[in-house]
Amino acid sequence: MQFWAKFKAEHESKIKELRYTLFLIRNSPLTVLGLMIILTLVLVAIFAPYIAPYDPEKTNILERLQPPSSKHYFGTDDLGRDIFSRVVWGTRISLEIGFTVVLLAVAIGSVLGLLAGYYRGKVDEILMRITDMFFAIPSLILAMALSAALQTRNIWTVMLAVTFVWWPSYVRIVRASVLSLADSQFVEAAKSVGASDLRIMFRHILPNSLAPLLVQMTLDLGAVILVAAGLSFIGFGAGPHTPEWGRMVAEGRNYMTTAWWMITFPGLAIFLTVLGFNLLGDGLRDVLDPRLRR
Amino acid sequence: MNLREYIIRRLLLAIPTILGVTFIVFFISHVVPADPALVWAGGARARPEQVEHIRELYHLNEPLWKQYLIFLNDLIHGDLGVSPVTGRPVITDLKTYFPATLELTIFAITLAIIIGVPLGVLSAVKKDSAIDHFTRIFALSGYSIPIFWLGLLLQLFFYYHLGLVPDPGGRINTQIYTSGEFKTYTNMYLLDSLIQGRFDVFCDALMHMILPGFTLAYATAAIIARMTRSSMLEVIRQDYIDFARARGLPERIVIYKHALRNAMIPTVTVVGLSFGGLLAGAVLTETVFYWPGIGRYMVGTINTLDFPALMGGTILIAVVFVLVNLMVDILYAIIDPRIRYG
Repeated sequence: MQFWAKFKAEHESKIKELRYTLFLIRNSPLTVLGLMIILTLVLVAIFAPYIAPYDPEKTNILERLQPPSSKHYFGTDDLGRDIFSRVVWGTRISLEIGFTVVLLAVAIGSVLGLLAGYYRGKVDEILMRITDMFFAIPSLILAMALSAALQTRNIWTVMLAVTFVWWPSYVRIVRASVLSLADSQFVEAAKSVGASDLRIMFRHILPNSLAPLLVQMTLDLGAVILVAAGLSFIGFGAGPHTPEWGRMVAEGRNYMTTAWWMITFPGLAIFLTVLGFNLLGDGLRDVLDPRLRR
Repeated sequence: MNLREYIIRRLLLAIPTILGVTFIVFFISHVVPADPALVWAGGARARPEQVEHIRELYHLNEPLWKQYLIFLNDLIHGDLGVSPVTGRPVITDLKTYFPATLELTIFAITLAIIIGVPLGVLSAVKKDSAIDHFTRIFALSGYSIPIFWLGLLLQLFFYYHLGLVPDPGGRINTQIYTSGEFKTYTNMYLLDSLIQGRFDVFCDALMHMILPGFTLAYATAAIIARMTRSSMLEVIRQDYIDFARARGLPERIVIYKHALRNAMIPTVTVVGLSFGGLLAGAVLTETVFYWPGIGRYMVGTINTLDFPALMGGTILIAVVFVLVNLMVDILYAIIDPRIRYG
């Protein structure tokens, strides 16, 4: 109890800010909707084995191309696999890809962005020219080339390929906020008491650039899932039998006139997931923007 | 600095960027575990001497850095090489496929502006009205919908169910194409048909393009609508807008002449930036609609490890992208006299 009182006293302003942030989020119905979609998806991903009624990879030719019914909620595909179970398991794959790629890209981008913005000069020049090159090629094409070069088709190659094209955007974001913070008084103060470069970068500058980073990460989770699904759709992603949504849409394409459910449900799953992240990201941007905050 | 110097300087600056692109793509595509010579010679059944011949021909025996230098040397001489898969010079293939993509992309970006700008203006002027909410939903869906799925749904509905559009799988009615009466100069059929005054062909090409065009345009239209809305909201609060109203100018002129022109600057940036996204989207759109463009061509080149074609296609896309960005920067100066290039 005493600990809590002490903690409260020490962090009073931070707690107040947090409560105000939560209040702002509660007052934005679309942000709450986004948050609810994401939470539901995370739960579905965690409990996939308990939710899915069938094995997502088990074929059953006798029951192929069944329309949605109480037995198969989303129908079955051309190999008789239960689409509902595949969509449920696909949630896990999509979220895994999204979170892994974004976290890796942020880690790489933050370090390079900090270096570029903090040391400026030659380091900055070289790093920025490299990122420019990445911006001159559409990311999907570069990811396609890389995933073809890797020669294997599974979700790891998708993650690697998308991470490879995604980090440059974080270099720019982090660099921009480092540049705006580098001359601020708290950095001067830290320097004057002899803090090391590393400490200034990671303890003082990075935490203060978290807000724009967080918004971008949320929006990017959706965008990464879209690119990954696109890669799988054109055949550069997950291997056969993997219940990956983009791949499922591609498999359903030849049957779309007779079995509309084969493309509809996996596509809807991608759409809802990306929509959830976009709603949340948009809401967070408004909530965390100091200009709109008061 | 005048405009000409500025353009020349920017073009010179673009050269290292494009060289860097060739470097990245070259090394990615050449570190493949598979043996491209074997694939090009026809796989496991190929005769060893044939494989060896191809290896010699394409310098695959040389160290990687030397291969890259050979590639650069050819590039400087305007030679993109011969595709080992199709047997045609890469430049010929690009000339065939690129116009189809360019036409589709220009059509899509025009459509996106036609849809996005008015929606953005209306939703800003009538903030919190029904049209504002509609724009919000329209935009959020545009960001979130998988482009390949949208394409398939549109096909399912407008072609298979309603029969309103020609079947996906071409840019023009095959009868027109095989009749020999219709000549192609630019390979952009909308333009070619207008040049020859063939309005029947124009309409046919337009009908073929409407679904892929909209599929490709939707995401960009969404971004343009949101951007126009927020910059319009910013602009209509300014004093000079109040002043224009106070002078008794009609609301229409205040909004479309005074406000919109100033609000267009961020929109122009967005249009420029989304061009890269459109080229990537074209890969998916072309796959869904069997559109014979550069996107589908490149998917094919990657599948067959067709390096010369892959390199050629990537360089072309990078060059286009850099040029579009340059055009955007020049447009700034034209729209906003405050911005001086420099």
